Amino acid sequence: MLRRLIAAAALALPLPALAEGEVVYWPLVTDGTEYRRIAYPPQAGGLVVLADTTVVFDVRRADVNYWPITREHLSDVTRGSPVVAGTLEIVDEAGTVTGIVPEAYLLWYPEGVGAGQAEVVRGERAAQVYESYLAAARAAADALRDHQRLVAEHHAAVEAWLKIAATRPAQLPPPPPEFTIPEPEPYNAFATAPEAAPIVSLRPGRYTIRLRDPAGGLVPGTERHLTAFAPLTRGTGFVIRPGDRWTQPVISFSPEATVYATGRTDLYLQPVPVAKYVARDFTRLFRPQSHDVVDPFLTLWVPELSGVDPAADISLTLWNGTEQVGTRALAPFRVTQTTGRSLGYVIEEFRPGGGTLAPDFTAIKLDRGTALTRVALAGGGQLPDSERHIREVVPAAGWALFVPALLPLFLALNVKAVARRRRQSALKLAGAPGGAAPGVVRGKQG
Amino acid sequence: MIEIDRLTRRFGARTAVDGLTLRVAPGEVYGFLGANGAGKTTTMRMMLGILASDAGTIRVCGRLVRRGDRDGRMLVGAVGEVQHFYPEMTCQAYLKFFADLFDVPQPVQRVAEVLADVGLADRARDRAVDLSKGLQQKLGLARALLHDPPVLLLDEPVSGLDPHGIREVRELICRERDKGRLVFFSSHVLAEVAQVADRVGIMNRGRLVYENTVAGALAGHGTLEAAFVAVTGGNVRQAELVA
Amino acid sequence: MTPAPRHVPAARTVAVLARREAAAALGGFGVYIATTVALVAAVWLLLVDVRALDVAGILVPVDPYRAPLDVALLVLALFFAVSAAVSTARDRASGTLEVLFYGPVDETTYLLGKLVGLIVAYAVTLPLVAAGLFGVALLSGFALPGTLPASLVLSLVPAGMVVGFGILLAIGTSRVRSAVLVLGVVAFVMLGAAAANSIVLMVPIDHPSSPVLALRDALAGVNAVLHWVSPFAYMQRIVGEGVAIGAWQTAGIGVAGALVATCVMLALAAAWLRWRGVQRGGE
Repeated sequence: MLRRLIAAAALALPLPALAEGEVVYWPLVTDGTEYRRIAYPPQAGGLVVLADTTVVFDVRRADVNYWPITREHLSDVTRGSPVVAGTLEIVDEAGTVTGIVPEAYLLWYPEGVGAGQAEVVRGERAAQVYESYLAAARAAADALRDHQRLVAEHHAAVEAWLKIAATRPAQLPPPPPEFTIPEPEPYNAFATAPEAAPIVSLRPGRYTIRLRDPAGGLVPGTERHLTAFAPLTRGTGFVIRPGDRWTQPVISFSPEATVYATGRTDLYLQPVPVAKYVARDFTRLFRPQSHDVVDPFLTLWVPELSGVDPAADISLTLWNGTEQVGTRALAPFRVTQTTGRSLGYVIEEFRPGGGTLAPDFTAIKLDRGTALTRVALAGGGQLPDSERHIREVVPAAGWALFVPALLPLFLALNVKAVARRRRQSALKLAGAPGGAAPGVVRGKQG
Repeated sequence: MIEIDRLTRRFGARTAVDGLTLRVAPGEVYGFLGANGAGKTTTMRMMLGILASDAGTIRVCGRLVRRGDRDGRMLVGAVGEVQHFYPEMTCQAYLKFFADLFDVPQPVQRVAEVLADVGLADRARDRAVDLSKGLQQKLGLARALLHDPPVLLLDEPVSGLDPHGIREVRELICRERDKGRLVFFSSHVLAEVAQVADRVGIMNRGRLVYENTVAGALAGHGTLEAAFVAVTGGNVRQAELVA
Repeated sequence: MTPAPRHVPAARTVAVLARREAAAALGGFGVYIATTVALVAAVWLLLVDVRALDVAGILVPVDPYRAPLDVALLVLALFFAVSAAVSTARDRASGTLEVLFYGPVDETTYLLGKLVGLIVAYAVTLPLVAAGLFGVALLSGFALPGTLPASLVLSLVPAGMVVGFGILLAIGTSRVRSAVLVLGVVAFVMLGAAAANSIVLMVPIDHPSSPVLALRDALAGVNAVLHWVSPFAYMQRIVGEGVAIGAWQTAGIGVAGALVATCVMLALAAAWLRWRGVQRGGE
């Protein structure tokens, strides 16, 4: 109740606009897996982009509000916001100035939004791609419409025949033939409408960017710092599916992390390309005003979009100590539901035999009971940062782990006991208690 | 040699020591008398360099005493009114600790010597905190003698001791004087002062109001108590004096 | 003219004082009980991973000992902060501080001796911690991280800062009980602010005028300050956020910061001690 009252009172308070018509950089940036537009009002600080990727520098004017809940300055920027036109100037650390004039572009999702990798299509090709996209989309829509019309016609024919059949005529005409025309493949591809903006791919480094208007003057409020960062290193991570919980995989992206297993089930290792980044840069790529990561030396491993080709000639080398004990190849697997088994499914190697069945996942299987301490991927030589230490452990009883914790106390008791014995021996050797002279009373004396 | 020249120390509005000037020669036992709050302990703390003066100077063996002068304290052996010991230490360990602190050569041997000097050789392995007050006072004296300083500063060395203890401390002071050490001690026990001191100085409200040889004081007033009452204007409660 | 008095090097004075301090700390049961409590806390946290592995059959922790080691060292740091405060306050309350100053001891050598002695005592507990964790590793199967020795060694620096912090707080008090109380309150505020910040961050805020927002921002501000002031924060930064995850620059900056902070605290403590005097109850 109290919370509701507070919320109601709070809602009555309007939030003032902090600034109106501010220059807001609204670049289209990618983390290697997806493209997003990120708003950088002046209060957001320097821009952060991934090096060697295509970045579209859209610049608009928009109102900016401070949003205390996330402690961010939010800009009211949309496609309808006025564009700040001009040539983008990029000044590198050596002071070299590069001018980037706006050019046409669109964002092309050949496999559809949210599926596969998007591409920034630039220049004249943008218009071509957009035209062909529209044509293909229209053709797909037409084909779908035609198919739906044929389906409707077939339904009507069937209905008509059924009505005739219901009258039990002496001579029933033959029924309409079975409808066998397949539904056209859905068209998932998508392209944004072409727009114009400066586009550039930057080498790793620090830059200063600014916008110069067509008259050659510097557009006020457009000068910002920009950091283009690149992965510190690249490697191979694993998605590990335990055989008894295949839908609950664990990830092992960092090569430093040891894989602990109880050994009660088979393991399926799916290699994933991964990259190591400075955590703060990577976090600020999509959340430039984030307060989550402040340590500039923290790193993290993230998966990259381009997956491992199922047909790739890679294998997992297994070691037990220093001895190589075998290799395992990448293979497709299919999960089949079963009855009467405790798991309710079995994971079997997929064997293509026609039909529409496809593998559920591709992985390298490590059989239960295989004695090994280390694995690494090989594909024309060991793949970098693909080595993982594997430890098979039998979880100990909780109480047993507390026994070593008592070691210091045990040691102290022993040391004290020994010290006391030594002191007593010394006193005995000295004769009278404390070695005091006869007649002297030990202890506190007044 | 102790040379104090116009020494002054104030605590807020109160002047604890007010323009004190005195000289004590090597081999002399100087009794420093005064009621509670007269400025005796404050003066001795300034002589040790653990309390700064507001004005005036102190020289011990010709060396100007400054606050925090670690080397200067090597010239002085000091014993406070109440002894304080680390509870875990035996007498021997306590003295060994201070012998190490003073960087005394051959510390184990020196510890044995001073324990024997003060008559505590047979209590070496006892914990210091378990000793009687008299023996603790002796242990404090042993600590002050460890580094063989030319000057001994003793603050109420016989306070609270039984007659045996008083006699032992008295003998020890005389012995150290005979070795040529300067002994500067404060005391309430005026009869004790009369027995061991060569000269006395009487402090009253921060000022040195009387200074004479013990023989001179006794000749002028009959007893030290009479001298004390006379020079302090009778403003000392009788209970504070032990005749 | 009497010849100049014998000079005792300050380093020797510090060493003698430190030896006694370390012996006193290690001669009692407290340090062993604290080490045991630290290890028990570590095991208790490790059990989270042990149980998770038991349930899931597979676990890929970056470092299963990160949180346990953090907590163990925090417990030890708290103990040594209390030890430093108690020992310093007791020296003054019992009068031993003044007796020390009858000898070649000044504020700086006294404080350095105490600091070094307690750091040495802390260092002696580290092999016990390592041995305890080794036993836990053998039983649990969770391998000790290769960074453990570096974590333990570098923890000496924030441990020194913790000791300096305890000494500084104790200088201002005249009684042992007051020293422990002040230290307890300050440590509670420092550790409590970090915990409260974590808790408040989990509270959903549905409007900018929410009172929780003001609390969250206030706690964030307090924690930003404590990040550079609290010795417990340095322990966390050097070990948990630095060495344990291989962020050596973070650890290095933490070490440098802790060293500077320790020096500042010792300088403040020395100035405060000089101002208050060494006699019982102060001037």
